[in-house]
Amino acid sequence: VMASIQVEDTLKRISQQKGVEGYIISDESGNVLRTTFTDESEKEMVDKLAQDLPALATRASSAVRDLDPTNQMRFVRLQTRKKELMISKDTGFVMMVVQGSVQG
Amino acid sequence: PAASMANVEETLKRIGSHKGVIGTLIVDSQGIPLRSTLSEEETHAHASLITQLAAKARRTVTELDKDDDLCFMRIRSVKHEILVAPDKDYLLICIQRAPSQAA
Repeated sequence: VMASIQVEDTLKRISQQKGVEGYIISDESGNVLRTTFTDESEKEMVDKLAQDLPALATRASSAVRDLDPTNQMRFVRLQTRKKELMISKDTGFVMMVVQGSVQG
Repeated sequence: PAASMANVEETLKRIGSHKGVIGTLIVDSQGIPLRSTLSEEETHAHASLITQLAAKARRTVTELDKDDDLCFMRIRSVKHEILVAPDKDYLLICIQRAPSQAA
């Protein structure tokens, strides 16, 4: 129960950070477990991100290991013109955070 | 021509002199290394892996929104951070030591 409260608090803290538009938590196959993007208009984006980003994280993780077996990937950040996507993978879960792009 | 080559060298030198930078490489769209401060072995190890990753990342972004595009990619691991700056025809890849303590 304690761990659960900590998880909730962390998720809340992340989603309330300035600039954060929301997050998506999926399993490694991209099945969405939880997301703050619950609006119907956001469904297409959520599906697309959940479809592509876990695979990208897995590839990046393998690449890091290929380059150095003693190293381990922590996260991937994609900066686009419009936003920033942060992807983190751990113990079967993939966490994707969408942030509005920071100008400058 | 000569002027832009000098610029490239200048830029690579400047990046390379940053504290913590392990190496820098430039690859073309096929992942063929054009310039690198890493050893030949390290260069080849990184070139195609990172090129493919960046291509996949870029595809995801443009497929999601055709008006958007990938500007930068960071792969952070325990030991390193790989920075990737895509351009129309090239990729600039920089490998630096991960900061020992996250701020």
